[in-house]
Amino acid sequence: MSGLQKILKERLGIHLLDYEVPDHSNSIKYSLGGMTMTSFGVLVISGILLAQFFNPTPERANSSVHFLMDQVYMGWFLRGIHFWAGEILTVTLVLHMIRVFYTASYKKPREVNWLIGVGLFGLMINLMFTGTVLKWDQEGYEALDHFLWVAEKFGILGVPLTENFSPGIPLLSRVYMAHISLLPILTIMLLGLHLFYIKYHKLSAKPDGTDTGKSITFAQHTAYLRRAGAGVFTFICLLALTISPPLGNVPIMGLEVTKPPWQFVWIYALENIWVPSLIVAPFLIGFCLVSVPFIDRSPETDPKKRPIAMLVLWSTIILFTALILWGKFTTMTHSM
Amino acid sequence: MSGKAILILFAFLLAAPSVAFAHGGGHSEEKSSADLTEEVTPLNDSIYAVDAGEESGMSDPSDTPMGSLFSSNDILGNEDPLADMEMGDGEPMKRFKEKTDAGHEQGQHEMHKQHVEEATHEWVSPHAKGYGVAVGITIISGLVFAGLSILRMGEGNSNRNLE
Repeated sequence: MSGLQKILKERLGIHLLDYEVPDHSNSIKYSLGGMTMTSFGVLVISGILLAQFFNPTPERANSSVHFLMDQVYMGWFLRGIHFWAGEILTVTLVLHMIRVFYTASYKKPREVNWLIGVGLFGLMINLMFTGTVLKWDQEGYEALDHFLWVAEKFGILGVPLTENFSPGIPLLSRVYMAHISLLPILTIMLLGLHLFYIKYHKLSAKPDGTDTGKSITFAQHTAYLRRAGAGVFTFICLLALTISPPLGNVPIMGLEVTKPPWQFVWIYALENIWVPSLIVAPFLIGFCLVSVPFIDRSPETDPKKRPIAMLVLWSTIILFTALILWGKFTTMTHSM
Repeated sequence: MSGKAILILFAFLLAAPSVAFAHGGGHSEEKSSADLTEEVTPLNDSIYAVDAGEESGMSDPSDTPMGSLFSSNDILGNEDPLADMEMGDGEPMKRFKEKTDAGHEQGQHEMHKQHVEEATHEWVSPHAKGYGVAVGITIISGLVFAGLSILRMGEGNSNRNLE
């Protein structure tokens, strides 16, 4: 060991990263969480840069985004990176949750970490929602309109989420505050806890008993994650370089003519069947996710020996895929 | 335990019937534009209204000596680039009022549907500002990924037996 390495090891405690993790950690399946973190990091950095050009007032928000896209040097690329990082994050996050469910990694003693993960999932949804609103085009306006409709139905409990809470302050400015401050702070705090419990309980074993029993150091795993992160970032750059995120003009109020982004389009489909789905569905999904480790308490982790769990998993995947496709191709038959 | 979970689920559903059925629960016929605009009127009261401060009795910051610090005008007298940008017919709020004042003719909803251009993904133009640099960043990023994939730096093969 060189002198410099020794100094760094002593001062920075890098040797603490030398703890052992199973060798299957270095696989795409078990690195989806790390890839999600990469996208989150890209979102934070690009978000800080975007904030320098965004004017969070209703009369300027949309034009400031147009200005960024058309006039600011590489502004289009910056916004593209932010947008596509959010899209990639959605995909890797959902795949990560599917992997955790498939490998039964939510079971004892990791129930609390599953709940933290559900909390992170909720925060990501909120970040995506507020990000959609901020560009303040027709899509953003309608998203906020739906949100206010839901908030109104909660009566006094929903007031803090409406404009009545702080008269004179544009709601869009408060949405911006939530997007760049409140939600990221909560996310980073929960993410820290999530990582702590991964370290504390160790990465879960392979569910089918095919563990080799071999291990690698965590530093080796981070090297793998670094490579995966570079891949994710390259993919984000490629997408930002070729496809521009959608951006409309200032909204026309009182209209309901757009569809939400694909991450939310399933609820658009449900709303088309039954409008109160806007309220019931998110709570029901949250409740089901929270319930998972409390309902499925058997120690069995092999997917082949968990037919009900697999049925639930595949049914959910098929249901949401169908709803997203339906929402994409259906026409709204009601107005709120 | 699953019984308890079902009980909690039922309790949740029973606790929220007024919320769940507030809309009548099911398809409603498409409303005319008149109904639509009347329903959304409260929405515009404050979120989009830049004059809300004046209405609530708050003083205009530009009246104060330091007012310009809080306004969107540049205190050094430079032009505001956003001020000249296309903003449609002005403030959303103003446009909305004009729309409602113009009457509630049939077919207005359809008319505005034509006005709202659907925002879609578009191909990035190679003439966009800084396109070459963006290509460079992407290539460098790709090269780093390729290099790491070939060299596998730090990943090692020194598997240890856990047992």
